[in-house]
Amino acid sequence: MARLVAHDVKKVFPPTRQGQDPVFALRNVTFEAEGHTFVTLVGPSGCGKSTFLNMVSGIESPSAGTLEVFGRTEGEARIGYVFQDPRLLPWKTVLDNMIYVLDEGSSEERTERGRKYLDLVNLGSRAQMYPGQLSGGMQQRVGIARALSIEPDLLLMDEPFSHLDAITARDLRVELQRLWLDTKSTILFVTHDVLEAVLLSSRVLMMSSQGVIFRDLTIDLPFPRRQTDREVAIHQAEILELFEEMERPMVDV
Amino acid sequence: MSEVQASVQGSPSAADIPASLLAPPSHPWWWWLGSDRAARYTARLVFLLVWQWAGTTFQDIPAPTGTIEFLVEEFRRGEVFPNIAISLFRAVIGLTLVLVLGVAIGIAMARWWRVRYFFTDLILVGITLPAFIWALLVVMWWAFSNIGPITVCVVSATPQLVVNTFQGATATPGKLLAMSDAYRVAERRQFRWLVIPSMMEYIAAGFRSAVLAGWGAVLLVEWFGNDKGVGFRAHYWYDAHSFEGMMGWGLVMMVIILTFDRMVMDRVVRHFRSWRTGERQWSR
Repeated sequence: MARLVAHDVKKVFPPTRQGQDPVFALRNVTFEAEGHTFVTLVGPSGCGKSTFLNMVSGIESPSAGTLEVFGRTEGEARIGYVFQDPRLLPWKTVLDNMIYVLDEGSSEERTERGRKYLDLVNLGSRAQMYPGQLSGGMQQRVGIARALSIEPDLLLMDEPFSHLDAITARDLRVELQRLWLDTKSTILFVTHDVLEAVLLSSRVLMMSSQGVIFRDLTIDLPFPRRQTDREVAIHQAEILELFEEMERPMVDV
Repeated sequence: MSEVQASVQGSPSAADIPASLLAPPSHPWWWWLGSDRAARYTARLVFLLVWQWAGTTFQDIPAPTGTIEFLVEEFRRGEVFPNIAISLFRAVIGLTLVLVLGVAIGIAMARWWRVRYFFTDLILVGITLPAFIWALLVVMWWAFSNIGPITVCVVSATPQLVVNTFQGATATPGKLLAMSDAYRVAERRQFRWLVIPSMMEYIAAGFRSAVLAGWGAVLLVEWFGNDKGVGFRAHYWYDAHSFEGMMGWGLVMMVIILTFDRMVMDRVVRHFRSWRTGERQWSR
């Protein structure tokens, strides 16, 4: 079973010139996530959420503390990453973008797997198009299909719907719930949208603007959820209240 | 919340759309006049007309008819194709070296900062030093051999390609590199799928300029000190005070470079830009 263990993780960006102070992006982040779970880090912009995902993916390294991802099998854990923007190679077709991240199997097997996951997000018919010929929502779906195609132990998602219009984002949230239920993967999601966090997550980690996790909540609502569900709205209001409380006295938990 | 009654209809069918948008484009015969080909042919026609006017007005300028007659004579003397062949041979060898060296140095400069600082001043000197200087030097060093034209072609055209390749390599999108690292894409595949394609437009544009510079350099060296080639023949007729001879060989130089640019370089550049189809662009 896939497992993410973060213990006392800190991230400091050193000053780049004289007279500048170091930036403490994250302070003492500690939590574990395991198995078929959908964990969301929610907090204001600039609180270090994306930095944390970058460290989990290996793009950046922590300044202190330990951060480990254990896969379902021996060896290095497979980590999929869906970014805020789709990050597709514009000169390659949609299918080639899928194949680009696949390193196992023959050329035919990788092509077949790429097609399978494009079908999963209903974009099989667009396989030979260039990313520039797709809408923003379609490009983001390719990004999701690409992340799923490596059959990840852990799927990282960094505000993947924040650049999309409200209607497309709503549809993709529904689709993401379906994919998560089907694939049984572990997802670590980042957002500043509390409604999105409640809608998608089984667990919500609330981060303050000081880069600290101050609440660890379980969202015990049945899936699939809809934005118009009354219970979703109630949880959203409760979390917003907790954020308001947090802003008054500055106490690290 | 209240709803305003708007004119809501069902999904549009083909019947709602003008037939002109559904059929493949069909154009009247005069549509051709607005095409890119017409613009090129018009430019050539204007050039010919101006040339003809100048040739008939000024005594020292040969007209197109006299120039063509001269070329026919030169062909009968067996001078046209052998001299074109030797110049093309030199240009092909030189430009192949330019392509290999320019791309390799440009990539190395982008990848390793020590290489960048080693070559920065040399490239600057290479770009600013006129091919004319190199041409005189190689004539003194190697006289009538093939080494001179090829060397000047390399030294005067490579810096241009290095600069373009370097710019292309440094313009590789950082976000795509981070994505590749996150997915543990092997460095070799990153280089082949991401770095090289992102540079290709720059390399193609740089090589296009390098071809123009390199061809000019070969002709220049042939002019100053060689016993074969297009440049040599032009100089030969210059010494003989034949305006038709100079103009005729000048015409050969132009036709060769225009043919290569149209038939090869233009297609190469368009190929590497094909993925941009449909993108909004500033140029019209």
